Amino acid sequence: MGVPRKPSQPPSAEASVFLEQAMDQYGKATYNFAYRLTGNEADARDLTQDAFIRVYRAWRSFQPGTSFLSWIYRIVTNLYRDELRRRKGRFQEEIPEDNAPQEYAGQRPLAVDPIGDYMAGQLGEPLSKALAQLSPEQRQVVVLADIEEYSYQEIADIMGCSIGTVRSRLHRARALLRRLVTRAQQEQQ
Amino acid sequence: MTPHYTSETLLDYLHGALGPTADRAVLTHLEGCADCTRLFNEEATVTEALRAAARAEEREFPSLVKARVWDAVRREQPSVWMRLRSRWTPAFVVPVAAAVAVAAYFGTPVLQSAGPSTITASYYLDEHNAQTTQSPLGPSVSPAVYTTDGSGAATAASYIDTADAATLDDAAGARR
Repeated sequence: MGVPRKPSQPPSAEASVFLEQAMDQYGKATYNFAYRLTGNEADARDLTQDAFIRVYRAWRSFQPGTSFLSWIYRIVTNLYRDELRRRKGRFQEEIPEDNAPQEYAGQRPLAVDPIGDYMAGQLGEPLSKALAQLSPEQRQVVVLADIEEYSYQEIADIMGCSIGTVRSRLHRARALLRRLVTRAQQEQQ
Repeated sequence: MTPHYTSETLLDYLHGALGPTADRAVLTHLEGCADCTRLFNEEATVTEALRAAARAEEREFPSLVKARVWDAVRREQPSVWMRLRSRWTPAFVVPVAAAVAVAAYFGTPVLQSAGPSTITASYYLDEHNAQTTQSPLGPSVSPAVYTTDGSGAATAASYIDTADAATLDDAAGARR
C-alpha cells in the first residue's frame, strides 16, 4: 500500500518510544481490525504496517486522554479507503444514502429463526464469508458496531461520515448478512 | 395495540443508539410482544455470531509487521539538511548568524582593509614628525630622526621620549 516516504518531521526518541508502546499495546487489535476489513492476511499486514508508520509520523497529533484505538482505526479506515480507490474497479458497489429504500425495511418477524438454527450448527466460517461479501463500507461499519462495539457517533468519527450514514449502512449490511446466512442455510439443506 | 417495531429500530436498540425515552418504550414493548422479541433475538444472534467468529479468527500481531515498520522508519530518517531545516527558528538562527558574521569579519582580511585599522605606526610617526617640526616650541631635533626609512629609523623609545618632552614643553609654556 502506497505511503509517501517523505518525513513530515524529524524522528525523535519520543516518537520511537511512542511507536514501540503503540505496537506493543495495540498491534494485535489493529492487525485484527485490518484483517476483518481486508479479509486476507497479506493486505492486513500491509495496512497495519502503513498505519503504524502514520502513527510514528503523526504521533504528536494524538491527543492524550482520547482513545488510541479510535485514532488508529480512523487511520486504518482512511488508508483502506485510499487503497480501495487506488485499486479502482475492484470495489464499486454504491452505498445508498439515508433515505434510500431499505430492502428489509418493515419486514415482520419470520415464522422461523434461520439464523438461530444456523448458529446451532456451524456459524463461524459461513458468517465470515458472508461478511466478506459486504461492500468495504458495510463491512467497516459492521466490524466497528458489532465486533468492536463502538457507538454510532464513534463510528461516524472514525469513518468520517454522519450518524445517519452509519445507521443506513449498518441496517443495509445487517439485512444483507441475514439474507446471506439464510441462503447458506438453504444450500446446506 | 402498539405497532410492531421495525428491524432497524430493534437494531438501533440493540446497539444502544436510541434515546432514553425510545429505549424505554422498546424495552416495554419487547416484554409483551413475542414477534418483536423474536426479531430482536435474531438480530442479537447475528451480533453474537459475528463476535464469536471474530474471536475464533483472532490473530496475533505478526512480528514481521513490527520489523517492517521499524525498517521503514529507519529508512526515512531525515538527512542532515532536513535536521538543520527543522531547527530553522529565530532562536537558533539569530545567534548563529551573529556568530558567523563576527567570525567572517575578523577572519577575513578583505573586510578589514578599510577604516582606522589600516593606519600603521609609520603614519603616526610621520604625522607627529611633521607637526613637531613646524612648532616653534617643538624639540630641537632633526626631522630625519623620525623617518622610518632604513637610514634614519626611529626606535619606539626615542619616539616616546621625544613625545614626552614635547608634552612637558607644552605644559611649561601654558604655565608661563
